[in-house]
Amino acid sequence: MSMNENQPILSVRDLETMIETKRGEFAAVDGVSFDLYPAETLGIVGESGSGKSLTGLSLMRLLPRGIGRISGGSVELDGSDLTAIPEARMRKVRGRDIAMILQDPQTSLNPAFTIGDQIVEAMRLHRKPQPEGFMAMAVDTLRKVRVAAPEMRVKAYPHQMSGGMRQRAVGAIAISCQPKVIIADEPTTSLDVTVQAQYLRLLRELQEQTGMGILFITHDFGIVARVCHRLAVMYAGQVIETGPVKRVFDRPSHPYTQALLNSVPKLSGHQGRLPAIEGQPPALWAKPKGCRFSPRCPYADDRCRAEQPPVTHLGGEGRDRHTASCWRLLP
Amino acid sequence: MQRFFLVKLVESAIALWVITLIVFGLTHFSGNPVGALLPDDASPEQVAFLINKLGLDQPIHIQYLRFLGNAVQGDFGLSMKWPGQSAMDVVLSRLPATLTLGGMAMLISVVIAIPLGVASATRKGTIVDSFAQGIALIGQSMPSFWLGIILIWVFAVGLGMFPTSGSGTWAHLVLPAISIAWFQISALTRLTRSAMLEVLDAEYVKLARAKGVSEPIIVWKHALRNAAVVPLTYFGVLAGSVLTGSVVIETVFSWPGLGWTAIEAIKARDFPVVQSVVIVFAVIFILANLLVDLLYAYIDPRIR
Repeated sequence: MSMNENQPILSVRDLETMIETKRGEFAAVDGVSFDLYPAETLGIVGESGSGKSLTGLSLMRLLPRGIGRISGGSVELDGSDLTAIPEARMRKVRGRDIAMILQDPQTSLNPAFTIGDQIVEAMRLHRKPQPEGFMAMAVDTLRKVRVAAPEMRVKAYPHQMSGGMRQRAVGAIAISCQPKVIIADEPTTSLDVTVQAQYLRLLRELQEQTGMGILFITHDFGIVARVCHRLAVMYAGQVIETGPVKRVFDRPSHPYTQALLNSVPKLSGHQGRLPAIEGQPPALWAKPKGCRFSPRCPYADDRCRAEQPPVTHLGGEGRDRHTASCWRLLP
Repeated sequence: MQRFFLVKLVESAIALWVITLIVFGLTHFSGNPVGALLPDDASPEQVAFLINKLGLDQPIHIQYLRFLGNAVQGDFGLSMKWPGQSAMDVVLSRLPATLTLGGMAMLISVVIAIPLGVASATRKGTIVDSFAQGIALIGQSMPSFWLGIILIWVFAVGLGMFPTSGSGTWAHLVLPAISIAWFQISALTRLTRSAMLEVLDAEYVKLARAKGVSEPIIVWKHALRNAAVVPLTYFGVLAGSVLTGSVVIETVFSWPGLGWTAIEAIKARDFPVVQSVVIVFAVIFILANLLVDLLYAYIDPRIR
């Protein structure tokens, strides 16, 4: 494996995903580009409906059949374009190269099978058995995600475990085949705060051990600040700003990012009433012609409303690259 | 698991006991059996003798206990229509015929309905789905006795492929089994379809796909295992309706089973046989539901 630290493991370019609705077919993911580097966590942040979850599903090619399809762009992993390979090969990629952690541990484990069986199923598909057998490997994997008494837990059914424990089991399934990339779609929203903190710490530790890249899909800036190295802010199907977390938090450049960060409560200092962003994000079928954010943007002018802004490079290269798409950033 | 089994066993026993109460009650409220047993010109001595012999002069609870005591031993008295045989012997000798027919009908419905339901769910909105829905609609719209007569008319009388009625060979089994099965197929197909549609949307199916599991395994292992609870529930009801349905279908096809026996016994006012049939039907029904409960526990670990 050529693990160049500064070579992205996953490169997404101009990804476009169409969604079929009663009013016709519309681009729900609308030209998304980003890179994911080894041992890095990239936060994909946005409101519900911004296309962040669909981006995740597009990478896995698990869009709901007959409703969603990838209509353009590329997803490069290890030199091959995942949007172009046949389904049979894609199935080998799923679970082995890219794994997924879903939102709700309550429902993402199959109630009819034991935890051990569900971990073993993934390993049986993608790995060779060690002499001690798959079940022993499953016990090992559970130990890695800090499940107490893993020898007992492999025989347990999901309903016999707590929510936090179940989400760890989902994590165990995800890391069971040592993937290069994990897509975590709001993995902690349904957990209570202390369990959430433990889980995030666990993810970070696993990442340090394995060097996997994590794509962390969330709407929560607090989590982004805690676990992500970089972030990409999505609005109406587009990435409108991306960069290292610290840099973006210090110098948010897109008015939408600024507004979002302003609406997060702060612990220190006096803030008064939290500012809200006026209006609603546009519906899929009613996107504005120019900048997608222009109807809600306090600075928008005629050019903003007429033409989409280009990506502006604001500094840094590679992992440090900071870009945003706003007309006002141009001289 | 053992505890679950024990609870179900006790429940079944209670259900059976309630049924003996009902059977006993019904025969008592339906009038004095002496009138049916003796000719109209019987002397008062003869009537008194029979009342005494049958224990009808005893208090009602004593009569019930005697009935229950005999029932536990399978003794419901002698048949009147089939002289020389005990009622239970008559019924038990007809039981295999009904079980063969009912079993065949259920086998046909499960073997056809489950794959059909699964296929129509996974190919929702396609021609396969419409075909399955069509089969289901037709089956639910036709009364089974009418279907039986039409099948006789077309395949026995018209094409001469199967015998019109009676029993003895596998060929005799085909038409009555299809008559019973089609209606069951309808309900089972639709239940399987809707249960599968719901389960295929579940997060754990999404996660299975994300693991790289192939579509057939997702459908038949991950999804069906969870969807199966719904058609399985219906299976308990199915066992009952196959039995009650057999009363009609066995008459249409002159199939010498329990249903046919029940009709004959009712026509002849053969109360011991009618009682025995009802009890045997009840036992089969209870056993079928006990089996369903056990299968539940096997399929869904949360129930154990």
